[in-house]
Amino acid sequence: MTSIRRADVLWRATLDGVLIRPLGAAEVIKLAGTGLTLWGALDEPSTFEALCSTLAATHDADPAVVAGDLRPVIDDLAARGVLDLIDG
Amino acid sequence: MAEAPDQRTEWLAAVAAFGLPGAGRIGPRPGSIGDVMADSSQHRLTGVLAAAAASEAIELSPDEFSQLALAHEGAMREALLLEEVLLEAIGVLTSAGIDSRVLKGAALAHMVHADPAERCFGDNDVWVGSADVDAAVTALMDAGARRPVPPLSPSYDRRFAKSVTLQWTGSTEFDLHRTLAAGPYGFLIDLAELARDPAEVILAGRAVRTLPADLHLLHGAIHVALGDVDARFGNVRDLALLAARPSVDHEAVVETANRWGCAAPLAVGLRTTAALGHHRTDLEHWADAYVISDIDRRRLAVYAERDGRFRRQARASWSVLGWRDRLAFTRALLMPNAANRAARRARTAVSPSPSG
Repeated sequence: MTSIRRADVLWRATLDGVLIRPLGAAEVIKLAGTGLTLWGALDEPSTFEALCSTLAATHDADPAVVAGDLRPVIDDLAARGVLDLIDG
Repeated sequence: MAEAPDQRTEWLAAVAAFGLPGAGRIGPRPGSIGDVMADSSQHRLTGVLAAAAASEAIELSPDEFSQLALAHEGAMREALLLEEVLLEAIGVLTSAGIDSRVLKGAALAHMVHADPAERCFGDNDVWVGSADVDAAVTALMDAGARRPVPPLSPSYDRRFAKSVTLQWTGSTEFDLHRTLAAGPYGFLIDLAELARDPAEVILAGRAVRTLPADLHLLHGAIHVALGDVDARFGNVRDLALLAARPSVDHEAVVETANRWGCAAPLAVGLRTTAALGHHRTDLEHWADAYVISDIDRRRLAVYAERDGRFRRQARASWSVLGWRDRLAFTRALLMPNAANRAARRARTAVSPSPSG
C-alpha cells in the first residue's frame, strides 16, 4: 500500500508545520512539528515503510517509534480525504 | 518606548526586500515584536517576516518566534479560506459561461512568490469583461453572495464601476472587477487586452485563469500608484518580484502602458521599489527617469489625498469619457438609485468611513 497526498486540497507551510484544507471540509487540519516533512514526502507515492525511513532519518529518530506514531496519522489523513491510498 | 515611525518604516522595507536580488541585511529590530508584527500585518508582510525568521535573517527569542508563528498561522488560515471561496466563485462564473481572471493576492501568491506562504491577502479580486459584469453579479448572488451596496444606476456596474464588492461565505470580501483602477486611468485601460493570453495558477489541483505576469506587473504598479494613499510594502514587494522575473518583457510592459495612456502610473508605482534597496531592473530605472506630463500630473493628483477622492476621481474621469458616457456617469452620481442611497446611509450610520 502506498500513500500520496490528494491534489484537490489547499495547503500552506507554516513556521511549525503545515495547514491542510480539504475542499468543503469544516476544519483545517494542522500537522505540527514533523508534519511538514511528512507532507513533503507524500508529494510522491510512498510506502509506509519509506515514510517511516524518511521521517526517522530527517529527525534522527528511532524508526520503530516513528512507525508507531505515524500509523494513526496516515489513517486519519486518509479518513479525512487528504490522502489517496493505492494498492500495490 | 516605541521607536520612531521612520525607523520602523525602514525596517519594514528591509523585510519587504528579503530574498530579492541584492537586498541588504535586515538590521536590528526597532520596537517590540508586537509592534513589528502589527506593522507587518498592516503591510501584508507577515508571511515574509515568517520566511525571514525561518531562515534566521531576523533574531527572535523562542517566545517571539512562537508569537510570530501564531500570527502567520492565522494569516494562512485566512488565505486558505479565501482560496476555497475563490474556487467556489470561479466555479459559479464558469457554470454561467463567464470567463474570468484572478487578480492580485491569490494569483500572485502562487505565481511570483518562492512559497505562497509568504503572501498574505485579505480578500479575493476577480476580473470579468464589462459585458459580463451584470451576469456575474447575478450568478454570484444566486449562489449566496450578498451585495451590501446596490449599484448607483442600472447600467453603472458594467459601464463605470471599478469593481463591485460582494460578501461571500464566512464574510469574506469578493471584489468583482470591471477595470483595474478607479477614476480616469480606470477608463483608459483597454479592457479587451486583459482577456488576452491568460496565464494559469493551480489551486487545489485546478487550473485557474489569471493575467500574464506582464499585466500583473502593470496592474500592480497602477494599484500602488493609484490605490491606497500609502502603498503597502507587500504590494511594493510584488512589483519588485514581478520586475525581476526573467519571463517579464519590460519593453512590452511599457508599450502596453503607453498604449493605454497609463505610463505615468506605471512609473510612479515602480519608483516605490527604490525604498527596498535591492538591485533594481532596467524597468525600474526607466520609471525613475520617466518625465510625467502636466496632464498626468493633474490626473495623478486626484488619487493623492484621502478626503474627497471619489468625488475628485469622478470629476477627473470626465476628460476621458465620451459625451454620452459623461451624461450617464454624471446622472448616476448625482441621482443614484434609492436603494443605493439607503444602503450608503445605513453604512455611514454604522461606520464613519466612506463606502466608496
